[in-house]
Amino acid sequence: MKQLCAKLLVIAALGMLLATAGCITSQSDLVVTDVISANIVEHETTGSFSTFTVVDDFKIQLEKALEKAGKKSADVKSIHMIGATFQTLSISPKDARATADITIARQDVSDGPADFVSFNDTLLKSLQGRPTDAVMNADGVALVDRALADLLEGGDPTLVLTVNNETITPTPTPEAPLDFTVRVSVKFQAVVAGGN
Amino acid sequence: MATAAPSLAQNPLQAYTGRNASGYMAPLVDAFRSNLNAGLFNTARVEPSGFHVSLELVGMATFFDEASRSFMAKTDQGVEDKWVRVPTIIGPPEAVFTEGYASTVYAFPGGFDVNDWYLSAPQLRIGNWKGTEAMARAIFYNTGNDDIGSLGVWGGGLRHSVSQYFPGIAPFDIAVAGMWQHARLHTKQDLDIVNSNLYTLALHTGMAMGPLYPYAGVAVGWYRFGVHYELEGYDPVDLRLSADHDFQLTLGASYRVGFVAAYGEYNFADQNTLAAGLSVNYPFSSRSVTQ
Repeated sequence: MKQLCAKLLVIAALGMLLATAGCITSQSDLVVTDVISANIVEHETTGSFSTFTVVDDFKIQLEKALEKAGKKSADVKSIHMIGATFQTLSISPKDARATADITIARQDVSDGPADFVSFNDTLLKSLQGRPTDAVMNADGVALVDRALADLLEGGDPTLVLTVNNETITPTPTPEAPLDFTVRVSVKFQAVVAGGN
Repeated sequence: MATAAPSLAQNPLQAYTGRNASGYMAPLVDAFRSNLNAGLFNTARVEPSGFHVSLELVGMATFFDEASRSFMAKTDQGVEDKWVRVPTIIGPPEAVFTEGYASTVYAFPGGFDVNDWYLSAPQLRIGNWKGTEAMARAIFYNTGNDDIGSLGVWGGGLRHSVSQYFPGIAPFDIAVAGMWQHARLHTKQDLDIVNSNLYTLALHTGMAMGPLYPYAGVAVGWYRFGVHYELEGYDPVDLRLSADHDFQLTLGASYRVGFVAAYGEYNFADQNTLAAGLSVNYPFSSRSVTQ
């Protein structure tokens, strides 16, 4: 299937503007919304642990997202995070509840860690299905926005998500471990210059 | 252990197709509907019998007012609910930003700075059978872009003389009309990007004053406007807009010389539309001017 540039889709979606294309006198700022995701896969045998996830394909994911909208990073005028979501892809045992903080930091430069999101006695199974909006922290959002800005400057930021787990119920043991896969997604908006 | 995850299958143009889609698109959808409802008649007279045919070319223009250039939009998921005045599709091109929860920033897309919008169509009118005539119009336009495809607008309707049953109301003419018009953008991939249907009921009236024929009409419309597009790797864009019971008032006049009549009208609706046209009539003797 051919890719359709964002502007053309918007125009098409709005009816018949192309039939009278002379009416269009300026290029609109287009807003492309997408996500950058990482899966956290864990096998834990204790109730309190700290683990980390490195997201080293931040730039690649962003460029792919822009490409799908017919754009490239050079077209981007500004980019910013608008939210984060969690989605449990698998969980055992099904009744596992977690209280945890997730921090975010840069691995390529000295920035962070900063508080990012928190879980408070959350039933992990309840995060299955559609992605659930996370309760975010402004410090973590600011760090992600700085990483996104560096991307536009040609950088290749690497992010580290650290899960600081406080309690898990029921408490995992070697005989009854906790196994889960959770997808963390950073939702962003890129404002790109109009045109084809 | 961490693994890279593919992007979620969501629509990258969510800012255009989410909760604010109808407000963003409203001026253009209203203009298109108003255009389609314009220029449909230039007299209210339908003879009880006798052959009549006219070939007409009508042009419609909508000039957007300042109020149409922005609307109140609501921030989408991930940013706490906040109402912000932002551009519509015809509004200023600059994106508008607002700050949300935890210092997140939400952007609303800019418009395309459209001041006016035109449509033209040939149409054919044939009558008369028991005071009834038929009318059809069609537009076909190849955009030259494979992704957008070709524009097609066509439709037809019937108009029936009411005044033939009430000779006492002469010299006023009254007619009722029903019209269906379909518009679509059809791609080479056999996909209808845009698919819209407009159903209109109208009451027309007018009176011959020599070669001049002032006329007026009131129309009510039911409009269905659908957008469907498929982007590889994403959920399809599937948007449905509807506008029911929208009224349109038409005031105009036609002037006929021999077999040619020129007419102009102004349509009051959600988006006001100016229309003008020419009609070539057979038989050459005038209906309206000879009454």
